[in-house]
Amino acid sequence: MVVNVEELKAEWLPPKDFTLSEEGHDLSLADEVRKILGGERIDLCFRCGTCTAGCTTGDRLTEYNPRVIINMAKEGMWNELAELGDVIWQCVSCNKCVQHCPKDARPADIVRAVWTVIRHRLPQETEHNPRLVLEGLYMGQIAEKGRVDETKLARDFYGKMGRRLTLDDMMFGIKKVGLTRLIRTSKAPNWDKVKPTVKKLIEERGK
Amino acid sequence: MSVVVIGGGPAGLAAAASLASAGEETYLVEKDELGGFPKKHNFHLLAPRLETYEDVIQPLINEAKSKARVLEHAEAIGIEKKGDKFNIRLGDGKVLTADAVILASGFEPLQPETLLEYKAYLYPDVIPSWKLEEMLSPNSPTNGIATRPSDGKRADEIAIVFCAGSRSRTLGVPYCSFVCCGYSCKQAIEIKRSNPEARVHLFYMDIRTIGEEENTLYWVAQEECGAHFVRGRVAGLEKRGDKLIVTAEDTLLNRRVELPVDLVSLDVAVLPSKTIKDFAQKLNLELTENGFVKTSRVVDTNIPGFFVAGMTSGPKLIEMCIAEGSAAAASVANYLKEGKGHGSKC
Repeated sequence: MVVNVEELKAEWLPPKDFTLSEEGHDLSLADEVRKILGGERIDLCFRCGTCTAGCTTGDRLTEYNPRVIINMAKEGMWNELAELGDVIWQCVSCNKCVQHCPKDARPADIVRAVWTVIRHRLPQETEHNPRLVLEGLYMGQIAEKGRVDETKLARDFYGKMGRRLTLDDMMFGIKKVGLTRLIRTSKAPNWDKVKPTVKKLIEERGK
Repeated sequence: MSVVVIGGGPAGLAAAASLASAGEETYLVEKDELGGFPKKHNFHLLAPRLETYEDVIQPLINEAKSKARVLEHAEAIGIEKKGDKFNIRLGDGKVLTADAVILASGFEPLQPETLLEYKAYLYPDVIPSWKLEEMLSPNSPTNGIATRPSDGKRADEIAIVFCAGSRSRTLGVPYCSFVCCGYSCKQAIEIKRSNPEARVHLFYMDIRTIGEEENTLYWVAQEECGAHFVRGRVAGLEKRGDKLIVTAEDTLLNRRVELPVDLVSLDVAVLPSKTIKDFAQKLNLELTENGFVKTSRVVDTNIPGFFVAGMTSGPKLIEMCIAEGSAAAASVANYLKEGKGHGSKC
């Protein structure tokens, strides 16, 4: 019998650091979330999980769990939320959770507020970071046309990330967004009048 | 025709007041003073409706005192049934003869020291919930502020431990104590209102705020008073410096938490009163597997003429005890009118 020594190797993990400080659980994160529009509803959540169960994004991305994200923010779990830095922003704003929530807490709004707070705390990001790439393309389209061409967005994004847009992706897009929105590519009416202002706003937001 | 009501708490008071009002010759026997557990521990606001002791229980005391024959500081230490009559022996040797009896002897709280892992025997700042209730009364020595018994300092971080003894097969208390979820949320609200600096951490397995307690107590504590709910049963407690460290698993986030607090309040279990066991042997009274009196139609027992009300038949809210007191009074009146032996078969 041959024993593969590599498979038997194990190491004792150091005990996990408790996230609560000596003074108690860190409330400063929840306080910051409460200051942002929508975030003030964080105390309404009683963690039933209806938002997560019906979540469009969570259906494709199991790490995206709005109940856990809201809960972590309330407990001040900065580090764990930072680890979800490439997950939290992927909410597609379908607002199903807002409709489902029995406590009228508007989970999508709370998650957005949490994201607003923690995005500035994330470690330095590279230009190949998928979130930054998508955000750049998305904002670029908004600045140019005042509208988002979902097909172009997906194609450009996958192109930059070195992946091809497949038929499966197209079908998913049609199913979730609808064919009419996928093929609408015209500019928003009178866009050229507001374009300079919007561009300025987007530039300022990036800083 | 005379009736003896044993126990001067909310249930016994309501029973005695109702019976005496209906014109029956009623004796109310109480081992301490009238008002029961709420009086003994200086209750102020009562869950779930946030009415005051003065508005709910004091009027019952006044009514019972004015209409029934009240014997305070008199303990019923023996009972026997001879024919249709009951003989109740009191501590001072007096014997009362009655045609019917209502047992409303209340409950015993589990002694917190017996919960070894919570170390109430070691740390004075680990207290049973009724001590916190005493403190939160506006006329308490601390003026309604939760403070640490060890040094009298104001407690700003307070842990409330649900199910301290309840729902435990190991401790022989497999049932739910029913009242704790409601009054704990009420206490969290009171703490925050008397001390805005305070933070209350509530460790629970399930929140059982039944009926309207849900949004009048639980949601108010959570939404308006910022109470911090952690789903997980507290496993242990230790002292580190000035603080007590409470250890539990946050089962919604899959992690252990260690929370430093100033004061720990244990929602100790509701146990059957000692009188029940004593009377059960003397009367062949049927009990439930948990040691409460077994009832049918809420207040009837297996002994004709012997009725119960309140916590004697299991944990329940004060307002339910009062309702059962009145219900027992009505059943007794019916029993005395219809003739003995009717309407009281289990």
